[in-house]
Amino acid sequence: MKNKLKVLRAMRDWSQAQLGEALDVSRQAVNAIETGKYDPSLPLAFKISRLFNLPIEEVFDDEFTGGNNA
Amino acid sequence: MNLQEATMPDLKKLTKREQLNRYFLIGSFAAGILLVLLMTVMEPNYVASNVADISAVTAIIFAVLWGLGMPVIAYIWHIKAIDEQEAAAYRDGAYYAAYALMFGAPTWWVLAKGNVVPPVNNEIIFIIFNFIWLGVWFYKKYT
Repeated sequence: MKNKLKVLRAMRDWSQAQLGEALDVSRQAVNAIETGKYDPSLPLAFKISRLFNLPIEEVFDDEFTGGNNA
Repeated sequence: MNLQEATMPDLKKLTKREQLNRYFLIGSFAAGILLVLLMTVMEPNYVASNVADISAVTAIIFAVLWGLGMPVIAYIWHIKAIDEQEAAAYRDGAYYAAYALMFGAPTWWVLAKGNVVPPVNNEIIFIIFNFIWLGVWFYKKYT
């Protein structure tokens, strides 16, 4: 799943370690989410969206383009 | 800090979870060294030959350490030190290791029964299982 975590973090001038500390995860976890190698759990995704004060769909993009099928 | 700098891992600072994780790993490595030294002192014949029997006392000590102590340490580690990304890496590792065991061990058994390969060695199976598990964990966590 694509996400804007790297951009949002850079806009706030945070390091991966600082963001990891705020989310209570490791730098590796932050890096894996940023590079799309790991999709966070729903609780962590909500935690991220709350941290950046954004709706979750503005941080994460599941590339859904519409239609009847979920 | 610009975007390019922000993409670089910050190697200078560890999060609290990482620090605890690092302490656990270093402690486990040190404990492993101590156990090897303990075995060397208590059972020099076994260490030298790898086939000699060990005393019942040594066996019980190591069984308690491994069978009771390790699960407690592993439980605390999983609760306190690792995050969900590492937990997922462990699950993936266990998945690959379990399939390797499920396919590999019976293959060895039947081939050994047919005298095609040497007899089954439980220690080698255990080592391969852990090697696959930890290899996948490392790949998933750090790459």
